[in-house]
Amino acid sequence: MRPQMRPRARSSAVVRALFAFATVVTLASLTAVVAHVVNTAAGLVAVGGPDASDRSPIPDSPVATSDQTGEGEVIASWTLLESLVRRRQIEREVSALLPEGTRLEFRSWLSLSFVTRGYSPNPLRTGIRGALIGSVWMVAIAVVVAVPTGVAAAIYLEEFCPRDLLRKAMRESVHLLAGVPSVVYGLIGLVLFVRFLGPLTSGAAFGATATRVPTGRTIVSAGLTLALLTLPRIVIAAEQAINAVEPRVRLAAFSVGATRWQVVRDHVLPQAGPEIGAAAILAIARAVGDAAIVIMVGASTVVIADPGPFAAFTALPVVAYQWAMRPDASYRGLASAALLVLLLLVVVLNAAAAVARSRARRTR
Amino acid sequence: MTHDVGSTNERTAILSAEDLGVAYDDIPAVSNVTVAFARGEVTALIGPAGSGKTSVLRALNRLHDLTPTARVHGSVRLHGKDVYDTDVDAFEVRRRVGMVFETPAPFPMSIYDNVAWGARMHARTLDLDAVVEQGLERAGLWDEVKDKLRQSALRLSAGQQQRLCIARTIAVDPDVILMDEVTAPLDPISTGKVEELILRLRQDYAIVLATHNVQQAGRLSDRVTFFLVDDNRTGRLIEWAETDSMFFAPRDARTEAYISGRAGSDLSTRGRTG
Ligand SMILES: Nc1ncnc2c1ncn2[C@@H]1O[C@H](COP(=O)(O)OP(=O)(O)OP(=O)(O)O)[C@@H](O)[C@H]1O
Ligand SMILES: [Mg+2]
Repeated sequence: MRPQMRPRARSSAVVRALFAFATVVTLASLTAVVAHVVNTAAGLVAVGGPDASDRSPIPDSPVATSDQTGEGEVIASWTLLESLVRRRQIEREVSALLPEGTRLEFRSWLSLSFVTRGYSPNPLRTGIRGALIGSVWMVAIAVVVAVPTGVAAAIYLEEFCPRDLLRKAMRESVHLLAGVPSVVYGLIGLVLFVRFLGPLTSGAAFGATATRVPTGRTIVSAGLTLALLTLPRIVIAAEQAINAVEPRVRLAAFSVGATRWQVVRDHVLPQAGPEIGAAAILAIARAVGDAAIVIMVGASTVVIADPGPFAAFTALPVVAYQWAMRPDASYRGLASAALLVLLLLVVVLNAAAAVARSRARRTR
Repeated sequence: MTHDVGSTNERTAILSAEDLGVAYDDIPAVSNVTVAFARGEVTALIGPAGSGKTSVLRALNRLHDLTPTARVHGSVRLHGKDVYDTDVDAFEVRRRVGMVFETPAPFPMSIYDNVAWGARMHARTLDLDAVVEQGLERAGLWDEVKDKLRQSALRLSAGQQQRLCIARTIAVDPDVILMDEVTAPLDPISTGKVEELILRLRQDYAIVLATHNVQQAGRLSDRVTFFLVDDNRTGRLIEWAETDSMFFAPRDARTEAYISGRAGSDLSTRGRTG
């Protein structure tokens, strides 16, 4: 026995080490992403006072509050880690190299006012209000449009589709659609919702335009595009959930004379519902961070007023993208803060999905 | 095939099959089945595994409609009307020809709703409380569950669940009850309770009982049909006779072999109640 055991034990140790390594890589890369975002979302900034800066671009300055005054201009910034471990050195550098009147302050780019404030050209005073509202609108539209449509399509495919061949063909194409890159959906959104259905998506048909020149580049178009992107995933998830309903319960229901619709309504949907809800939320959470479709549909760079459904709009990933592309140090902090808000939104959506899942398990 | 009991039985039959066959993916699983079921009688379907008992039962209430690969041939008449005619509503057929399955399959709902669900569906105005009580009473379950009607049916024991499934079937007022190995997964005491129940229900329904258990067929049935697979692996009805004559004087040697092989000396001790 023993001589045989040893090589097998060795190979199993190798396999185990490989799996452990893969896990470590996964965890490390996730940690790196979060750590980087957090690291750049706060830290020391050197702010040149309003008098120290000769080209002061600040427009009005209403009520000033201590460290969030928004006075001045960011001359240099340091990451959270640097700020914590090299504070002395940074202080020395600032007093030695930067002009007189430069303040060194600790700044968290993510703050309540960052979330509640609208756009400002001054990085110290700008916020993501418009982008956040845009993203929340898009999620809401996607939920309202994609979930019922996806569930209905899955029910049709699983319960009513008359021919097996048709069912298979449709199932295959839905799987294919789920793998199509989001840019393609963005293009479809642009052609279909922005251009072709422009009169509807601009709100002109309802007399509800919010822009001076009616255009289809609105939140409705973006939300519908997001719905389109998530639809195949919702159909697939709903199909799986419907299939997971115990066949004997289904047969038993038919055996007391139930129609297909009665079986779906009273047995299939209640049992599959939470699972479908959870999968739908996850699909939408995944899509809400997608910048490509929003840019294709025509997100604006700057949104001043709170956007309504027919307004020009922007969204969190777009804002984060635009800020991250700018060379100034301050905007890197802003981009990270916007990404943190986006992450938070995704975490909230995931938590909702988890709640739905646990409900599904409890009713079983 | 022998139809020695045809005469009396066919005249009072509620449900009858003529030249009935079932094929899956065009491969016949069972064919040429002619049999009839009358109210007030229990008919047992016996035969080895794979001889087509379940396939026949499911053909009787059009349950094969739900299996795309299954095809049914021949005719099934309920009160003289072919249930496979195009103008017949399969859902109504299934209400009138109820079915109870091998594995208890209560709905994941309360005990009350399990019984009420089907009844509510078919008649909205009726007094559901009364229907539920009556159904549970007739299934011999009322005393055990009357204080916990709102509790989930999944918390009942397997035997109670199976009787609940019978209550649920009764609640939609069927004429025929098909039972497919309904005691197979149950312990002896639960089995005994279900058997008593079958004998009590016998007078009001035509009961068709597929079973592996020859002794059970002997205890419960008035007539027996015996199925066997032929050389082409297709199930055939070998013999259809009154239980006593089948057990004591089987016409076919294969029937005798099956009954004596399975039942052994227990045959002599079987006692019919009800
Ligand atoms: N859904 C199906 N698809 C394909 N073949 C099937 C299907 N259901 C049953 N069969 C086949 O049909 C034949 C008869 O099966 P059936 O279940 O009717 O027999 P049975 O007498 O009820 O057997 P058991 O005593 O094991 O329950 C078997 O060969 C079985 O493999
Ligand atoms: Mg069977």
